[in-house]
Amino acid sequence: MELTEISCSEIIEAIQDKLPVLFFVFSRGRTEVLAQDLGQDWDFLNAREKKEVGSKIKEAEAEQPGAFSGPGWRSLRRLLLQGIAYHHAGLLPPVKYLVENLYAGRLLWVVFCTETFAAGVNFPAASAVFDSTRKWDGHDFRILQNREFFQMAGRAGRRGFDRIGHAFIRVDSRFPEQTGFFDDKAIEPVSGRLMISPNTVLSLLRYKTDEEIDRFLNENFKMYQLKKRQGLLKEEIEVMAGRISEIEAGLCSENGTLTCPVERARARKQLKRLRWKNKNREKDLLQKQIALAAPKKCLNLKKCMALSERLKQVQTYSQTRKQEYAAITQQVDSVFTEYREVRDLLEKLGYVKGREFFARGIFALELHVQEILVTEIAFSGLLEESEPADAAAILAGIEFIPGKNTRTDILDLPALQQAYLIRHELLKMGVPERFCIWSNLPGSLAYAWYNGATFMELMEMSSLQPGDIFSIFRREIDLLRQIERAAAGNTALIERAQAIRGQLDRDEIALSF
Amino acid sequence: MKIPQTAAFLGISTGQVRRLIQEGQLTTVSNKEASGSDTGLLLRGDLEALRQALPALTLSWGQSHKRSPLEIGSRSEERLRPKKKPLRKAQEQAPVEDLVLDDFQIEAAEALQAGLSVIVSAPTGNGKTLVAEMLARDVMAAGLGMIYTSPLKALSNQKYRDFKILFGEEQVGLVTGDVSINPGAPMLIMTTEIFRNWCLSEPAQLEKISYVVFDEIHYLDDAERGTTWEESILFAPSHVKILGLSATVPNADEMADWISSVRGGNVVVIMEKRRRIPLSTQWILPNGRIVGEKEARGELEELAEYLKALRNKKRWLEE
Repeated sequence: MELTEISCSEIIEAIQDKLPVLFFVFSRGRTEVLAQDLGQDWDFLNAREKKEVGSKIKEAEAEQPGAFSGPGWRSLRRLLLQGIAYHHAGLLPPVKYLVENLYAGRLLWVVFCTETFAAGVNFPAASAVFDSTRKWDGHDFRILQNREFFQMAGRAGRRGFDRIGHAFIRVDSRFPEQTGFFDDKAIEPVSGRLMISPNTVLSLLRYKTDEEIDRFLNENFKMYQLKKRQGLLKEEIEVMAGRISEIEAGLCSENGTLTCPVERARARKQLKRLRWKNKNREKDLLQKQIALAAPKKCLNLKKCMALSERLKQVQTYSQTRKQEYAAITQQVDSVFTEYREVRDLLEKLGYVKGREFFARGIFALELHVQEILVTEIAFSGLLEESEPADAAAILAGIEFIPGKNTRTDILDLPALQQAYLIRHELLKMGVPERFCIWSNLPGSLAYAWYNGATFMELMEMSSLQPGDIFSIFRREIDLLRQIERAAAGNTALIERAQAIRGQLDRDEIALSF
Repeated sequence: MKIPQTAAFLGISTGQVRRLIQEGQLTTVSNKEASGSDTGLLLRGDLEALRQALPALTLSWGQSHKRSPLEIGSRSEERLRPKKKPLRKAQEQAPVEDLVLDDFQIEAAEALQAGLSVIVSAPTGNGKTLVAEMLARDVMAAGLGMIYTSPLKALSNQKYRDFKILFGEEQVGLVTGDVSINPGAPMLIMTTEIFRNWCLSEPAQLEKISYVVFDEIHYLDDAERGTTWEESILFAPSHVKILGLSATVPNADEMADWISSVRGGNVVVIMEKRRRIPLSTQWILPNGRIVGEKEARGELEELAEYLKALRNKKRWLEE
């Protein structure tokens, strides 16, 4: 038989005295599917409310007609008039903003949203439903952390309306083992996450004294926590060592030798085992040893056995602590190693030498994404020599990581080829992958947008959602501003960057406040 | 066979198996022997016998057995039916916002007025932002400046809109990687990245700033971006005090100790663990029942067993 799966319409029916609800879903596509499903069965608004929603929609549409168009918007529009919405990062900001406004105006009863709806701005609800508690974290599906769960569930319970807030977790019958149970007393502690980027190293070398650099490496939060743990472990290991020698002192001098009856009994057992396994050479050797040692009568056998047992326990425990100590020491060292590796790389590539800055180093100092890759592309002359639309195409791909289903029209530009080669050369020279993140996929979109395409046309060129295209261009505008600062003195490059930026920052891509 | 295995064997749900037992169509082993405790086990022979009659039986139950608690007609019927309307409560009027501050907000305000760095750790939606707003009024009244950093550009934009309404357009600025509006304003909204960059390359711009607010300071723990918060805290000019707003975390004290050790001065920790409105968590089972934790765990165990049995079913049938 097929496993029955409760539909969201049924869930809403069961909790309809606890609306409005934020329905958390961990996939953008599914927020839309569930919203459509619910829209088949439910209409939450009365005539007066529908009119109000309608006029708010018209207002927003009049302000930014471009953002409110296309088949996606038409279906969301229909749902909004029924008091239902979805909200995720694939939507354009004006659309998200409209949904937020309607929700704040108490005109939405059910919002299917991704995790980002819970970050920051306060949108309380009567209840929070979790479509599932498993999420893709970029590497794996995993159950939500306590901290993540309570951040989202925290939206349930409106002051002045609700006596209690309700969280509902849907059990996914396909993955029952991934159903979350959460404990607010077991919220995960915050730990330091220092990472050394080329910009960090350049900034330290440019603006900080040796002493300050030393402090930075030794006193960051990650190090603070590691050293604290290291200190505790060290103390514990010392205590254990004391205890071990104490126990050893209590044991008689024959302990562990074959004259001790305990050890002798153990050896006999071992002998039997060896005979079983046909390990004759070892067996003979052990037999000889037993024969050689004169057995001793023990007066305090029980005490001795207990002590030996205790000794073994303490030793095992001490061993695990020592292992952890070694692992932490290694992590402490890795902070310094990471710093040295990035610094050496920058020296090798001719950015700096000691404290001396060369042209590339000064340029990269103003960059904050993919510093090395962008600097090399700029110094190749590619940005100035190729057509501005080509340059726009190259820069759109900086730090873009396509999903496995991302498709765009392919554009056969020699400039993109060259960018690809520059990246390839860097990788060959040993520059780590994480400093060379670039994709040619957004290239065709940027080329078209620079040349005056409409947002609709961009949508037709790729599988990306409006919100993704929006953020590709906002990030490119950010990068162009960095390049303008970095290019100080090179008026040709500055003007080029400004011109591209002006061309990109328009219509649906422009911000509005 | 246990109930989950039986369900898999007969191709029906565990609930249906229980119904069969209730209706006397199936008997558990202990019932049969009428001695000892109920093992809840079923005999395979019985099941084989029942299998023939099963389709007729389930048919006689009609549709209702499938989702008995929340009965819904078939899809095609739904489309024709008018849409459902929600129950409306008698008075759904917005309550008058009470202006009484919580204890933790008062404590935080006092520590900030004393010019100390503060970390506030409180559950979501409990009014941490209000602490920052009170601070902003004080700082601006004193003719000084404040920076408010948030982890996401979208949040910065939202905060900018909110603060413009609160403090007036000319008092508020926004600086992110791709926008710069009124960057000389006393109240500046920024992404944490920009603040970090200013600390390193343009500390002169921070001369009049007396406080920096780190909203969602627990982003320190973000694998990719946490380092920005580390660097901001380490490199912020020494005259700048910190207000960190954090979700509930168990080691706010540790964060404060660290900040105090690298920046000097006292760092006050204000912890509010209690939610203003208590939270109840329940689980929705595949059959639509809404249950508490204990029952949910039990059902999950059964469900896992059922899935395992389903996988084994093919093998049984071959036996």
